[in-house]
Amino acid sequence: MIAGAWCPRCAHGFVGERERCPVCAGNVEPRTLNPEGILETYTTVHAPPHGFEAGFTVGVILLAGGVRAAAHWTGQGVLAMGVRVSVRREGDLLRFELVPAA
Amino acid sequence: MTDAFIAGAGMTRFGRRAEPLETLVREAATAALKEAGVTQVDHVYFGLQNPEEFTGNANTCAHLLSALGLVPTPATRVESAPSTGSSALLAAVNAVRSGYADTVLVVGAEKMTSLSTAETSRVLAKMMDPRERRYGLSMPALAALSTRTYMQATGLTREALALAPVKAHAHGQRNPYAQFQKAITVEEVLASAPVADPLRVYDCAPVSDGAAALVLTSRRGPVRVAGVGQASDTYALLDRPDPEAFLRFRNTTWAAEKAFARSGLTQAQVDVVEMHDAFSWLEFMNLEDLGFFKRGEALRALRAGETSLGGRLPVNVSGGLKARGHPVGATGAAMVAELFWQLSGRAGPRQVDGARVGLAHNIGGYGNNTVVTLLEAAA
Repeated sequence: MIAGAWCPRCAHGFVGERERCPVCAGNVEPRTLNPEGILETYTTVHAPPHGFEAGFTVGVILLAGGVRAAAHWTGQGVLAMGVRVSVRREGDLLRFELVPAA
Repeated sequence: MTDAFIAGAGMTRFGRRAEPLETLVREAATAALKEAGVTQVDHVYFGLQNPEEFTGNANTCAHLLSALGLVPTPATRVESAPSTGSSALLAAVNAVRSGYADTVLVVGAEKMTSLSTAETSRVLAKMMDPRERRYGLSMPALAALSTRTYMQATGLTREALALAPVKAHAHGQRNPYAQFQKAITVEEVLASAPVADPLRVYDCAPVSDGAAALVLTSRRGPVRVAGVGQASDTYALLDRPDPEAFLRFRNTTWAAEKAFARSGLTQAQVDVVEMHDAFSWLEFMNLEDLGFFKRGEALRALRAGETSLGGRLPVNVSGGLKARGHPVGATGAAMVAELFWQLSGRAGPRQVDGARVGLAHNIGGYGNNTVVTLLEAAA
């Protein structure tokens, strides 16, 4: 499970620990989020910002309830939008890996 | 309330300029004041995104008022990320309409190339929520994420995406103020260096220096500000509770709805558009968010020549951000300057025949704070 927050007023969840809702600034409740989701979109960055090496891949994972997480990918092979993935925390960042077809 | 009219506009050529910020500001402002036939104004609204970091100078209003020789005129700096120029215009429009001022000068400007490209990118990345920056996401990387989603949803191919910068450069050839006045081909776009898949260097607006200025007045001028709309969205893209967050900027639609409602105009009445093509896919998505086309149809319009000079709805005949250049604080003022010249029939070789209504669309941040301005020929 990964850390998240839920805003009862917006009826929307967010990844990470939050002091307040990033939409309405209201109080949020801590929630743990199911780490499985689908890969909504991704990119490999060739012109990286300071502190990152060229060629890293970052994706956006759509978790249950429409919650979005950014996560890095260090796996092998070819990604595709819509595939099932699983997110886990590694240090400061989330990483994702492909979920093998059942 | 009184109407606000544009009486004059001026701008520098955009690009990598040797002159310091104050020289660029003086060049644009002097031209606008001269065109308007005024020497004094009641207030100056400066639009600059980040002169503190780009040039190392703060207290921007005092710095630039002295450079313009306008002391003791009051001035205010307005900032809303790259929609800064349009936000400064909105402040000026409100000053005129409320009766606070009769004549107002708006100057949008940015001097970005004093820093290295890497440093400039670092300053620009500060526009984003640290929760996203932590993942190495930059503005181009977010644009890449959206582009991939948009391509899958609409069937836009990589080759078709390249038609956007090709069109921008074709228009820029006709604009003496444009940073790039040279045609490019689809092959050159596809051969340019990769930035973030699927985007390449030629999909992205350049780093630029430049200034653009406008004189607004309560007295009848050639062009009337018919309506301005502005709307925001969350700091982080990933926090937007929008299932289609990668397929649209909701605040573009919200800002357009306000501007059209306030002006009483409709999309069908617009003759010429200047919009925020900071990345190539925005050529398509913006026109759909603005209500000119259904999703996926802007490409058909581009292929048919409808959005080029001579077409039904010419878009970015200035060259847009891609070819005219994108000095972030200046862009919104430059869009409105272009429309001012179009609607008063003085746009030279890029004139849209008979243009009477123009729309400027200026995005601040990653769909964070967007301004839509509708202008109408007053004559």
